[in-house]
Amino acid sequence: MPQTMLAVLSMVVTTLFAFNQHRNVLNTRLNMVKEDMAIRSTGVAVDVLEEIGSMSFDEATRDGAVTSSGGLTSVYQTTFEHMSQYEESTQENMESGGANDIDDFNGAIMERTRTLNEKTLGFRAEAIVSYVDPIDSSTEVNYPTKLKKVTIKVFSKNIARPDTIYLSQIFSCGSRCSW
Amino acid sequence: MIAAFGISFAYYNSARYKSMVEVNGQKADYQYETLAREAAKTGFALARQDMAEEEEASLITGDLPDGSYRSVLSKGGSRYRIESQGRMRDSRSMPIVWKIYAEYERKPTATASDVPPFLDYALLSNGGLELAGSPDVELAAFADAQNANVHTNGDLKVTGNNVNVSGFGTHAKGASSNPAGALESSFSPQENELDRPSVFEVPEIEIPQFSVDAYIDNVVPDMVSGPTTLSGEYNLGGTKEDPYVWVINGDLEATGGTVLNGYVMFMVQGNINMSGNVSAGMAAEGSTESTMAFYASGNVNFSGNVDIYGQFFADGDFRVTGTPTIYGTVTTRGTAQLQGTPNMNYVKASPALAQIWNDGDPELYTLVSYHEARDRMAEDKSDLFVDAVE
Repeated sequence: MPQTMLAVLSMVVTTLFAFNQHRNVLNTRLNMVKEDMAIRSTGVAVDVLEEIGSMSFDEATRDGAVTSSGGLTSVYQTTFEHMSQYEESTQENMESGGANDIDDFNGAIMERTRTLNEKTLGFRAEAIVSYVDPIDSSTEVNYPTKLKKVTIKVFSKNIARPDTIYLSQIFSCGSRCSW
Repeated sequence: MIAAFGISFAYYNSARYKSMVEVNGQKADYQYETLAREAAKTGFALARQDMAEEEEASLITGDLPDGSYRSVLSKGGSRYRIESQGRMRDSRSMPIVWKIYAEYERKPTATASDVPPFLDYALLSNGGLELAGSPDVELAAFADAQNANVHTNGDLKVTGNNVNVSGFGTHAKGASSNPAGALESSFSPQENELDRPSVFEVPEIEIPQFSVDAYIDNVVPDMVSGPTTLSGEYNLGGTKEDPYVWVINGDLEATGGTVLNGYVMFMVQGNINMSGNVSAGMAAEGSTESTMAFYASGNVNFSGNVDIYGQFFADGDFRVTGTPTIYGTVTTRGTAQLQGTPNMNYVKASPALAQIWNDGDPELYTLVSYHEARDRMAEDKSDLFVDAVE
């Protein structure tokens, strides 16, 4: 009898161990996928920032210099929480090449894809553009200045509860703002 | 056996946990590195803005929510150097430093050596051009131009046999004369190496619309006034490098006894009417280009005994009656009528006085080198470049 009990106990322990191990392996793999997606999301965010940074600082500085801050276009203030209303129009606008300066990306929602082992991974990137105080570049302002701050939010569309990546960068007008 | 089993279980779990921590650490490091790079780029953008504002050296530091940046701008000759560092701490609390190095070359100050094509004619009109009476359009004796050419984007019309133009007559729509044959005989180019006919058709020459508002941002006015009537002598000064700019919001009138001297640009939001004994820009005699410019959003009218040197631009019509003598160029977006016995002596337009049409290249700096990389140096390691500036 004791041998039987011991055998049953061993089987229970072994089974529990096996289940636990299986769950741990699964968690580890899920975690690795999540980490992989976070890294790829970061890459997407960097790419989108580069894309936006390659645009003209402002519509008014595309063809020449601007001699006063009043010559720059104003940027409406928004937040990531209030962006869904722009989704369709901005995606269409981006795809048709409608963006040609940095603030065209304000409130933009972009779909980006990456290919992994012949599978397509989807990412959603959102952008907010604002002017910042030239003296204190950490302060956002609602009037035109020589500096614009772009904040990007990116997350994977392929997994549940993905990590959300935020990246910010400041872009300057340079010699095209001659005041 | 159970103890051995428990030990192996613990070892296995420990190894797995360690592996997971390493993976997480690597991911975190990559993201810290990205944040360090973005911080460096923010510092770089701020230093670049300082450079654009003609700062010769600056040190900019700042803290971001996820890191800090420190950028240094320095200048040597026409070269600017920017070094920007973005800093983060990695998962082991070791500093991650991302560095950006860039060198820019300051372009020489843009000075146009040529005038726009629409200022390159003795007389150019966007509408019809009618030459009647006995006008002479010749080369000024002291100027180095080869021909005193005349062009119209509309119809060229010559009336009578007394028109004398020392250059080509070109048109975009057609040409006629009364009597027939007067057309060719009225134009006598001094230089004609290609043996072209003296009158021929060419494409339209674009003439931009002029208003003071459209170009006021391109100049620094020395004088701004309302409707102005000139009388007496004006020594306005100004040089080729820094012309005197007089902005007039209204008509500009000049009557008898007016003398204007200097290197001057008049920008007139209205008409320019000159009559009586007016002499302007006499200092241009002996010069190979005009020293006075008159740009009007309305008409330019000459009558009486005007003796004037300058380059004229009328957004409206250009009309000459009487016996004025004009040394310079005339451009009109409307029609041009030369009647009576006016004398036009072609003197090349001044590029310095045509800068308002010179868009130029607003980028004053050329990027000559750029490099960015992660630097694993310790935070407390002295940075000679930064220390030298500090």
